[in-house]
Amino acid sequence: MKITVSSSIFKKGHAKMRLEGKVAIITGGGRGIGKAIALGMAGEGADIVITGRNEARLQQAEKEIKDVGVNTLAIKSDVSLMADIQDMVDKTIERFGQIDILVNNAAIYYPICPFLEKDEDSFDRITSVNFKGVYFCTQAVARHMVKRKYGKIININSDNARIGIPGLSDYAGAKGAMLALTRTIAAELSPLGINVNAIACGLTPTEGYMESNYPQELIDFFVGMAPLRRLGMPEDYVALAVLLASDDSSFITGQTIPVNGGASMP
Amino acid sequence: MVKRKYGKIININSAHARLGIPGNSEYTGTKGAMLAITRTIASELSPLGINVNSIACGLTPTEGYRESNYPQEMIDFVVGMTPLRRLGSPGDYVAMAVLLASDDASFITGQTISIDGGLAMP
Repeated sequence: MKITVSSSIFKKGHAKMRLEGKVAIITGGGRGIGKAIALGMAGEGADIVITGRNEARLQQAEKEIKDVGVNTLAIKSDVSLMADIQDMVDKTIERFGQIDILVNNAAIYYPICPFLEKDEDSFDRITSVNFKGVYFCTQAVARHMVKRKYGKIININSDNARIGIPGLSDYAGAKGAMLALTRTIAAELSPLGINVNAIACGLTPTEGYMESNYPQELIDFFVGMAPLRRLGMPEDYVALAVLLASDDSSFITGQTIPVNGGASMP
Repeated sequence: MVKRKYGKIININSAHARLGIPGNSEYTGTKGAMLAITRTIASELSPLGINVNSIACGLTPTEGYRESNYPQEMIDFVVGMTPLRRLGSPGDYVAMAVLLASDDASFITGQTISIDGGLAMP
């Protein structure tokens, strides 16, 4: 059996932009973790498409990403709507001709609420964005990737997929669905040249999170439980996202990798 | 490391820690032990500034592996079960090791990350 090793990675100072010539879609790229990843991928040379529901936020983020020096497209889009998903794919193909990387980042929180008091409205809203949105964005984009036998899909997951945290049953359920979906889609699409992985983020005080109502005791409990004794920051997830989007990770698939200060160690 | 409140520890583990592969019980036992101590040492040392993580490698035809006697049928079976349909090569683990050794991974600890073509998806 022949051992193949890329010689370029064994030369000091080899570093080149790892995503040059690639096109990445980051859903929910207007703020928070999605924007940090979009900026990080732009810094590695990728052209960037960001989507989101808030036009003003998107325009601001688009400007910041353009300033990095790459081509950028912002698309107002709601991942829970099938027509918006198709529109996102069509506009990206029209502008850039290809999609190499999809980051399924768009997600919503709902206020913390005990399971026994949850209602159908919150359940439907959360699962339609956090699960159905991921499912059909992946399907629509993967149909293009399969033709080129190349693609990197990165799902932004949460500690909630593996840890039971009270008051987040619908959110956690959707994230558990994402954990299973990451494995299944990897099993189906990796033989066709597509890597599918996820990052399970720890509790991260983004703008979206600030809109939820995490009680301070829960936050303190989290920080105390995490061996690194702190919350996450959007920047904490960027380097791994870039690695998973690059050809340096060609043997990684089906994984949900926790970046959470050690709060869970599956 | 503790004296300087800084350190990155990377254990090179194996898919064997999580999968039952026949004929290798003492080797898999030691890799299971490594999986457990990666967690335990992380929980003890990360509050002191040290990140402890691990890479669980897939079957990789290195020189050391050639000295073992993996039957060809088992290798074929493993490749067939692997979504990426190949064995590992030493270069596959480098970028993750560099990431875990760098300050870009400062919020990662206690993890055993599988790089095995999708053979194990914990």
